[in-house]
Amino acid sequence: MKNRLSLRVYNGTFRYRFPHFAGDTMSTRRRSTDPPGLSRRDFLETTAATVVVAAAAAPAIDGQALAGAPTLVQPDPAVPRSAIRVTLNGTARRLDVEDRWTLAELLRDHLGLTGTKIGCDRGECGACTVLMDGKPVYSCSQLAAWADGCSIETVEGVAKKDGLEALQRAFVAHDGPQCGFCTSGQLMSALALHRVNARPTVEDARAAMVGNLCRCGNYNRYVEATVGHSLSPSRDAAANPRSLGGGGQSASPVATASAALSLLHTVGHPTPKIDGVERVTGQATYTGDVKLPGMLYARVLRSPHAHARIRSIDVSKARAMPGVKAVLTRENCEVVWGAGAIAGGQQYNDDIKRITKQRRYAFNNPVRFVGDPVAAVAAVNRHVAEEALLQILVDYEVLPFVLEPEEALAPNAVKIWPEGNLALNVRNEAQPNVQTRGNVGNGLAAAERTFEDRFTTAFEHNAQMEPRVAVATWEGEKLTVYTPTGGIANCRHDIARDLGLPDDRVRVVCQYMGGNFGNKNQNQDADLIAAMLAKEAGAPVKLELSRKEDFIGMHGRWPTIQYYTVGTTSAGTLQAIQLRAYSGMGPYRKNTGNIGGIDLYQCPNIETVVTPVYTNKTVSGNLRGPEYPQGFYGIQSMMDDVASKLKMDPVEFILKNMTRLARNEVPYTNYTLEECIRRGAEIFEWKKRWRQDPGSGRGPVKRGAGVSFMAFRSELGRSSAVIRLDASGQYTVFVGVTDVGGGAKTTMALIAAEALGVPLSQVTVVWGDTDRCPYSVGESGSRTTIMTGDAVIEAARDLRKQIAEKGPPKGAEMLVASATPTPRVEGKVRSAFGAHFVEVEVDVELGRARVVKYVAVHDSGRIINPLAAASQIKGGAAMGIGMALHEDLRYDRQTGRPLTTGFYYDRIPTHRDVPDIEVVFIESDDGLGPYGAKSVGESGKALSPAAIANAVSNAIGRRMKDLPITRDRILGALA
Amino acid sequence: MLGSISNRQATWFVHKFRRADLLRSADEETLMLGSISNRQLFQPRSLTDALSMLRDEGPLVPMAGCTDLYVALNFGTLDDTRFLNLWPLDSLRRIEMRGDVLSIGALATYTDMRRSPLVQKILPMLVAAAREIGGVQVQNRGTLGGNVANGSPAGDTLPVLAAADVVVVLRSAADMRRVPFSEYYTGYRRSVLGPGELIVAFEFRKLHGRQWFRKVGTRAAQAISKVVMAAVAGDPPRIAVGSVAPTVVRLPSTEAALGRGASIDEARQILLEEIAPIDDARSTAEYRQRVAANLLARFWNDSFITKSRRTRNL
Repeated sequence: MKNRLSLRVYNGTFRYRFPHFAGDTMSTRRRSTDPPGLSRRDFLETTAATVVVAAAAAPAIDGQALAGAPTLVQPDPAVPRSAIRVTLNGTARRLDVEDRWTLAELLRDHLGLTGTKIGCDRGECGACTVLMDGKPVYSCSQLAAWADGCSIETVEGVAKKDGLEALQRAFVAHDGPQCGFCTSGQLMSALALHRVNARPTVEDARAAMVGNLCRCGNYNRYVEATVGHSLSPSRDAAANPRSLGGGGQSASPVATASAALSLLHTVGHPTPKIDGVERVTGQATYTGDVKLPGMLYARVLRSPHAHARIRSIDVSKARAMPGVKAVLTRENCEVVWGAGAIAGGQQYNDDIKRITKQRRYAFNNPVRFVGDPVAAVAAVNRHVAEEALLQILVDYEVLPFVLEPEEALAPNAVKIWPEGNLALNVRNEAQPNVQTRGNVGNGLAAAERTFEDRFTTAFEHNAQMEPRVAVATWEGEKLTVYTPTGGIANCRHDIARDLGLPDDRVRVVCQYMGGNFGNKNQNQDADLIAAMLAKEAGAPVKLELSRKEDFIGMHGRWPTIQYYTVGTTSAGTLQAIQLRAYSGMGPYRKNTGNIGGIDLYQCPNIETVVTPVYTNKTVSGNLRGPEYPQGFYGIQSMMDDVASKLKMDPVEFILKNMTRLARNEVPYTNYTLEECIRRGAEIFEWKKRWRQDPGSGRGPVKRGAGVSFMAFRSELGRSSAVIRLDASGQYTVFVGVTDVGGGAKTTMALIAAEALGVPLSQVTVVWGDTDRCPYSVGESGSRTTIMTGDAVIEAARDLRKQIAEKGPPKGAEMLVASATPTPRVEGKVRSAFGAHFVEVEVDVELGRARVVKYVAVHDSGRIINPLAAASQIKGGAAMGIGMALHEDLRYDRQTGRPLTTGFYYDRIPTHRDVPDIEVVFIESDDGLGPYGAKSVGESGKALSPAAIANAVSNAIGRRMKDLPITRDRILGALA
Repeated sequence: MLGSISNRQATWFVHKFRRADLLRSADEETLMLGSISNRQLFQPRSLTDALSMLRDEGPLVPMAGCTDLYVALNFGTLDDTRFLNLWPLDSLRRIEMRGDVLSIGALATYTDMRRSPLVQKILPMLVAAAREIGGVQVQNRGTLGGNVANGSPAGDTLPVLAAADVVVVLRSAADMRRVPFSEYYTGYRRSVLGPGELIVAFEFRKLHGRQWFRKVGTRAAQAISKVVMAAVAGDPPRIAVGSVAPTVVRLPSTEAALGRGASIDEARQILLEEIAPIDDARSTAEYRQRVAANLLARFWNDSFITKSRRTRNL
């Protein structure tokens, strides 16, 4: 194409459209049409600078350049460009930028500085924070051209030649990054603070970072790193590292409780993440950072209607656009997304694939919720892809829709599926989930007191900081998908089944991922769409979802309506519990819709009937303890109220009625629930903080306390591990884990070092690549440590045996051991235990509730890494604050469109919403799992909303029966 | 020599700005097809330059820190195509005394205002408001002029400006005029600002009486207001509330009642007649009524009752 320069005279000043150059920006060949008025030298400098920067940073995996590969995007001749001068991380640069690029886009796509992340792309989350002339700004909300004349600092420029900046070291030492996706932004904000205030207070730190959200909820750790000390020094494991050989010496409860446990060498010592440095320097490669040669960019067109039949789709204009390489609709892509509707929350398999009546396709017709994919485009750059989407004409026949579960079950309700709106189970039966024990009718009839109530919970979005993204590439018949997934093995299996490929023709790679919370367990439709686009286009394709798409196009926690009837003796012993409940599943049943919590109580007669119902809202699926936080909130609010009406202290009521045998009959492998509750009550000073007379505080700001407790599954199961020893003495552990933020890599390294009897430095972990790693169950269900950890121990044992028999390897020799144990517990139930104690402050004139004190006591067996485990509990509790007080994906009843799709409207907690969360571990060893370890990940979240709701009720003297407990609802309850 | 971007007009295709709502209805999508045009960014070098562009090239949407614009663009709710970039005009960023008037330039950011000793001394309630807006990143880019021009009734600085009876200084290529804040808004997101005019500064006279500011959002920080109030405990008091009517409102009857010694209960009743809140995604009308009345009582209590009690206790 011909370059032209358009000149205009304006107010005596030349204004011109800067021409851009056809061809590869890498090329420094002289063009025949160099613009007049520009010296050739200027042009070369500009272009060369771009080249140098672009080629500078290219971390490689398997020799394949991933992040920051030189840009190969063809410049669009019609797009104006500008030459800008910036000082980038201390180096003066002249850059040639398209006027439409944001600063974040320039940094990430064109300069390979992918440490700056995009979490929302509209100035709400802070993952993209960079320093502009020393001040933190959101680089997603700045045009690159505006940076002209400015100094820009990104995370890549923080570390100096002689090593990490002190703040970066503190971020690692205090376990700042969980998933790490928000870390760069938090770091840049904290760095700006440190430059003006070397000794900030906790409040200073929170104020400086309040524009940076963290869905892992690791706010306590970021604040600790910024102020340089722990928030709760007396008991926090992080503050009291048990030095080798010194366990049991400290006065901290962690150590006291652990005194009975044998001391181990590496396991049990607070250890910063082994990849902490990568996470605080921007070097960790997330899927969105992957850039392959010739890669295309994709976007998905989604239904604007809650329910509609597509009469026709005209993609001819889009397909004809220059730069568009592939367009998919249902007409040319019949792929079924098996895991998108698997009815049982279980692993998708051939049986399910064969029998299921209600298939979810990559592109559906009819579309059944606002956000259902309709078409997808891959093009040479993201802008063209977007333009092309707008050229697709869809003719919809709009259908009636239904949003609420109880309305969807009405006889005249619109049928979302021909079989009706009661969601089918894996056997295609329209049956509610039923659980019974004893006889609830008799139990209630015999009860001296009966109580009834109704509780509801809202749709809570996972809102992980990293929006979904997939990069797919075909080499011959082999498909590689880079995707953030909690389980590479299951993800590969799902992709292979959906595309009709054998497993070994699919490779799934996930090096780093920005949060999961159950949202990325199986394969995603984005994986399939990217793969099919890549096949169609014959080139690698990256598909990134926007924050809004991530909110509405994917899934979150199912909203519930729970009706309880409870019978007790007059002395407060439970006789019967009945639960009738409805769960809103959206239009596809991606999970059970169950409501957990009944089994927390020792009760002879129970009956639960939970009805999962189809609606035209966003699909419901896993979110950190899928069925527990909403169920625990419901039943523990109910029981708190029963205790209150019986004039009993809720702690006494719990101790009287809590589970002592699993499901009333099976013994636990060990039992520390009572200790958790008693210890927590003591540390929290329950008697002092809990108000016997709820709502009795003086003045407009009232305080109250709440408690919740749990027994949480901690199952054993199958996973594999391979360990290799080479002649240098280095052990390489191959495990199929990714790291959702819990520190699984570090956990595996600690377990391996312990089992091998070597220092941590002699262990390398290889993870996150199905071509290199054996099967792992994947990071869901709080089971990675237990299942994969057991496999690592088994493999280590085998390797030690081989070393003893054969001697250490020499020269090119290697010793390799592998294990796939399938441990079982017979006749007993393995469970983690815990109790949370919360004090809130409620301003009854403004309706504002604030968590002011938080104590979390957990028995998660032996704690492999007290630092990361405490972060997990803190993060879960922090997330629970959002669920309890703010978060709600609300819908417009007129249009069926979601209203609160983003971090501002859905209001996940900020730095200011999360107080210090004190974590106390009561360690135990039941002789099972790796060194006695039990589940951690989901339990903090499961307990938090119930305790907070009970505390608010205690403070104001009104039972809060609907989550979230917004300020409006508090004032409403007091009206 | 390459021209720097600030002295030329760039035409751009939108990218982010056409990262329009891909969920638009079929009808809207059809409409959108006709509008795939370049969006233009005008880059003035000086205020005079900007005003000329506004006169000759208008209508243009002025843009500065873009903390509101970007959200609207990302949502796909902004249909404008031509923008005037004011951000580089440093002369509009000044905070200074002119005689006994505090003048704050329209481009002063929330950070500028928080850090300004003059604002801290003369308008502490503006510092309090600036502190509550977004995170540091937004405070570094958001401007006072932008908050006023955006005109959301939830704008956090607006009650401060209303309570302070600020004068808004408007400039056009040909003219300059000063508009009392009480006359600035004419309806929901509508104002007297003419198509060729820019807000250039805000002029504050010193206030007598303790200043008071409260924001009630949806979470502890980074939230859009459910109710926001600024007040001055003068004689008579000045009280302004945001998020309870189509525009920020002063409460003249309530002020007068309190000024003549009415009880706080009486004043609360009067307040309820002076506001007209609605239900929206953030809150309900009922909540806003109750909280506005409670804030009034709290202001009164903080300013007078608490103080006199303290005096008695002494």
